[in-house]
Amino acid sequence: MKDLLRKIARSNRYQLLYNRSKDIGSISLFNNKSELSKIQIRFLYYLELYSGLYSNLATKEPLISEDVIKDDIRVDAYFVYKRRTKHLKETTNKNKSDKVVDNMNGRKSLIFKRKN
Amino acid sequence: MEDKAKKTEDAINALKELQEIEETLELEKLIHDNKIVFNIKDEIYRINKIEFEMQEKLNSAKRKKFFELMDDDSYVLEETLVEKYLKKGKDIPQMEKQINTLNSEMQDFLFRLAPETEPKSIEKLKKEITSLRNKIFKISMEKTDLLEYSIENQLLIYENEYAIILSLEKKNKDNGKWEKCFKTYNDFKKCENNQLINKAVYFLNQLNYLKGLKDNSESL
Repeated sequence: MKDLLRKIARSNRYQLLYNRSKDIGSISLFNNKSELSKIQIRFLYYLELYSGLYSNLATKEPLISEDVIKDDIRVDAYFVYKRRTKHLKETTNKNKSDKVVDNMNGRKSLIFKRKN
Repeated sequence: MEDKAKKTEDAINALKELQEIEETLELEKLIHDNKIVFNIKDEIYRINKIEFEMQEKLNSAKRKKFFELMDDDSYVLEETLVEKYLKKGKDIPQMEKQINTLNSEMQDFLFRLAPETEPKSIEKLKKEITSLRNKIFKISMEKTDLLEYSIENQLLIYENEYAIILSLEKKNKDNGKWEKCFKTYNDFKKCENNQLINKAVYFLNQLNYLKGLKDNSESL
């Protein structure tokens, strides 16, 4: 069920419809305009997710390809990888900025040593 | 001989494709609207998304049922049931820890899979991930089964049943109007049409985020 929903969401037909519906108000994906059902909300989530992936593919981002997009497990892997590397970067940057500096310009202070 | 095997394989694949097309069309119907119309024999039914007013009624019915269950000594809360199982040698908290461990193991495999380019390694990692997913699913199902008789679970079952009473309609053949399928809880309980109940529960799950419905389509 989930697999099929993802397959429909990544199809050219629905990706085109989704992107057009964002620009043209008269094109709607659903019969109802409000009170979206659970499956509709999940479908919109996947439409947005795959739309983002196709954009990444167009801008030739690393680790993404047509083969990856067609494969649910590899798409999940792609997001886990992105999330973890982003978290790692943020932690490294935070650690850097948390280091105590002893002056305003952040450069090392001169250390005067007594000559023996 | 080989030719025959190839023909059989082609036929199986064609059948699978046809089945997938059929399932895709069914799913597209579900996505299309926040109401689902379906047939059973020559009767037409409709199930609606639970809206604000219905939700109020549902909450009120649930509240009443909760106190009714609390006053009944034959039901116990999940916490008590977990303790009882522990005495019988079934460790539910340990099962939860196991799920978490397997889940983080799966995340590690997913992390390794993303930058992988070697087809054989990709397939191997995918197999590991699928196997871990199946293990997690199996333990979760076992845990759900063990807690079936808790007050919390009974309340969820009641919530599903009550939601069907509120949202399931049947088309009147004479005037074409939609009418409530079940007027009371007793009407619902008396219903022996299992096909109708199963379909209604399935569609209800696709329309609503009710806590009582098992969600088999967890997000990423």
